[in-house]
Amino acid sequence: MVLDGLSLLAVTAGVLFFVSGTLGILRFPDVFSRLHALTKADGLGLGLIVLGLALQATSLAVIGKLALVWIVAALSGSTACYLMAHFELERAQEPHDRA
Amino acid sequence: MDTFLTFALTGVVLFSLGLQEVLARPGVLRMLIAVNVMGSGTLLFFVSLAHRHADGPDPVPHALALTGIVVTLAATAAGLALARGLHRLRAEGSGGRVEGGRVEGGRSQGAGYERGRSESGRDEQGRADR
Amino acid sequence: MIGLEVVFDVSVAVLLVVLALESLYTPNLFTSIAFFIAFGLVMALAWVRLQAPDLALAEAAVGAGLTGVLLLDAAREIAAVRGVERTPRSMVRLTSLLVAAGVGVALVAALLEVPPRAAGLAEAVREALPLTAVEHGVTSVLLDFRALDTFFETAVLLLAVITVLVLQAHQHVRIIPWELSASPVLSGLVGLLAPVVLVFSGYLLWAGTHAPGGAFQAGVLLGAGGILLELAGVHTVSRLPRRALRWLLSLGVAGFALLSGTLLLAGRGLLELPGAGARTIVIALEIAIAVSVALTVVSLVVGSNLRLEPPEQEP
Repeated sequence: MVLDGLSLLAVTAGVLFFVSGTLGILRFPDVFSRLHALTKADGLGLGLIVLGLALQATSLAVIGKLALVWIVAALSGSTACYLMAHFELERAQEPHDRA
Repeated sequence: MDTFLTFALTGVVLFSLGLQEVLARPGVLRMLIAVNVMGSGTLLFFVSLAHRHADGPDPVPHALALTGIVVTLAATAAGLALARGLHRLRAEGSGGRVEGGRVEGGRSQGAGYERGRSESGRDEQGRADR
Repeated sequence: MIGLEVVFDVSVAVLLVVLALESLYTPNLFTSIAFFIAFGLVMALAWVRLQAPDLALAEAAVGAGLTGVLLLDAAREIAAVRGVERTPRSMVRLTSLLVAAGVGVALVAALLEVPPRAAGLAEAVREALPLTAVEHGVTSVLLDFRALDTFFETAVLLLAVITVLVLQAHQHVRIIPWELSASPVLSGLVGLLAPVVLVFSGYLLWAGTHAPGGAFQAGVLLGAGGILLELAGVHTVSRLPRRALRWLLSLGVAGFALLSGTLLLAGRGLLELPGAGARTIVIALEIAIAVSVALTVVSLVVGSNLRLEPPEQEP
């Protein structure tokens, strides 16, 4: 019962973080602040949802798989964020040859 | 509205949307995207029919759709390779210079990736009829 | 009382239609491709809802990942020089709308005739499953009941990859900029992910005999991993000797051809597996198919002579 409550709390908090990250994408003015909002908020949101689901898991194997999902998503998300920011920086420094 | 009916209807809608776009004769790339949407609609319809069985879905449509997904990827890749070949031939014909597979058109080349991304739709349409 | 599951199904369905609409009708090609990638991801979710985990696995790699890479790469070359948009004349647009709407209405009418409950071939497969070499329905259909279909599907894949390799024989493909391919962050990630991808595709291949998974899913996953390696500047497939690449690409077809030839000579049916040793044969075939699917996927995306290092004359 306590476990269910904790799960519910973690998943709800995770969803809230996802929503705020999405709001950031929609409302923030430039690539860098959007990326910041997205990767930070979604990273935390995913972590909380994984935590909430892990509390409901019936076996250690399921918890391991959930943890693997979280690790891989966190790694690839931050790498993609770095690549996009890097690319945007290159683009911003390049002289504009078009109107 | 059970799962079968929901996704079968979605499949029909996706197929019709893709068909409309293909028939409207857009550019080659858009046509390939539209064909992919049509294909997804077909597979969705097909696999939702498999979902009508009460205990566990029918595996035969699953197997066919599985190879269908991989074959669609291969067909798309072949279509894109043909489109690129056609594009290079056209660029040669119109005096463009082909260098190591990259086409040098009338405009100066920057980072091509970024160009494809930032071009506004109006710009693309404006230059279409040349 | 509407169940939570119905709400979820309808949301996935609506999301699919909205993403397809955006992808088809947005004026900017890059945005269109981005929407198409999102569409592929949601398709994977739809497969899960339809209890088709085999399809979800393949779609997540193919629809969301590989098709997107292919489209983006082609868009950069084609759209960079000449706009690919053509505003259709209003007559064409009207006709296409009418035809598509007509087809849609006819399909919905047909759908309403379909009985809402039907077993299809589910019972037949379940009854015959003990006779086959494997315990998973989808794999038994692919490699036993309808092995002939799979034979020709591998042949279609081979044809497609031959088309791409011939057309791109003199092409210089570059998917991401040089400075990124040398980035320590990207190669660090790829270094961490490559072993995970390898182990996981091996697992999928093994799991295919008794659970969701199998040659095609393992093959596309392994291929996606190979593309990641190429992008990070670790050349595996693109450095293979051409002769070896050709043999490996045709491994799936060759396996099927060898098997059916041997069985015919032994006086059996075309792909009529012998009772003893059938499991070994099926697993060997699965390995052959997975290897050639993986190499096919990499070759389709990177072409025949990918060189990610900068050419000397680059300014």
